Amino acid sequence: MINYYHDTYIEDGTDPAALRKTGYRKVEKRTKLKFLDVVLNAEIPQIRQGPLTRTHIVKYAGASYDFNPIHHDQEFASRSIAKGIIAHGMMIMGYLGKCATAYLGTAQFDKFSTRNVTMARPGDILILGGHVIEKIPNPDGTGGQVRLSLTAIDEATGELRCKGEVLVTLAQV
Amino acid sequence: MIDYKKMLGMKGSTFNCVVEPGKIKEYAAAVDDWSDFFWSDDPTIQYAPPTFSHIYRSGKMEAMHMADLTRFVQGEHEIVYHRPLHPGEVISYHLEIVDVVEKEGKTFGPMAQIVLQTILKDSENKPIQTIRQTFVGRR
Repeated sequence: MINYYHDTYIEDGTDPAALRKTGYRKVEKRTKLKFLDVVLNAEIPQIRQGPLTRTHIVKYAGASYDFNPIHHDQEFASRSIAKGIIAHGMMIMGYLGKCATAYLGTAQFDKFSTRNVTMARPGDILILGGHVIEKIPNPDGTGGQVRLSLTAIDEATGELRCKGEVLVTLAQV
Repeated sequence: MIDYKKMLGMKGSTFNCVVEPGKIKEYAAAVDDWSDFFWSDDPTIQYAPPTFSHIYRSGKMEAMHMADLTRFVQGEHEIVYHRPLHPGEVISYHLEIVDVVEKEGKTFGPMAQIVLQTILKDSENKPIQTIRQTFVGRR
């Protein structure tokens, strides 16, 4: 059975450019990367994510059961430390996970860590990307571990929003 | 001023939940990830996205009830995976505040760094994931 997901309007009241038409999204086939094919210092294909809207943030709030009002309530958010609505830190971590998953062809990681550097807000377009920073081969030639460094950078300002690392085990061939 | 040091050692109550296949898809959609292994209807193929385990932790705020949410943000998040998480599994969460460090911030003044550790276990009490989350709160 083919899965389709109906992607509802992802719009933002303040920015007509952020309006996107309703459409159906199709599932993407992934093939797990081989250890042999990983090149040290290679760049991970970039993903342009956004512009982020309040609707994306509310969608994440619902999916994650995280209803901290700092993510959707303008009045609450304005008097908070963030001085306005911000995206969930976990949403940006989720985006970085997606970037690594698309490259590796698997979401079965050994370790995944991120650090939120600046707050992501509606209107941000995030450039998700990274590099292969370490290859740790198994002594018996059966593959090994690969470490990726990841970043989410706001396209307009060049500011680093979030950075992280993924450690994953891959088979040799 | 909030005395975040008092939070050290606080625990959230242990609770069970079932990993729902539809919730995995809803979460994958929310992070805009269309990888086939999240969207499969076969429970032996489908597994949860890397950050999925985060969603069921309603005990989090219980362990951190002292925090003032208007002055509280998440800093770091680290997950160590012991094995993949599949739909239909009954999992339990074990939360504890394992570290509190007070600091003087340059911009925001007196801050506290709070480390929350969560061990996610399966029905046989074996660990699936170990999660360490660092929050920053203004005192």
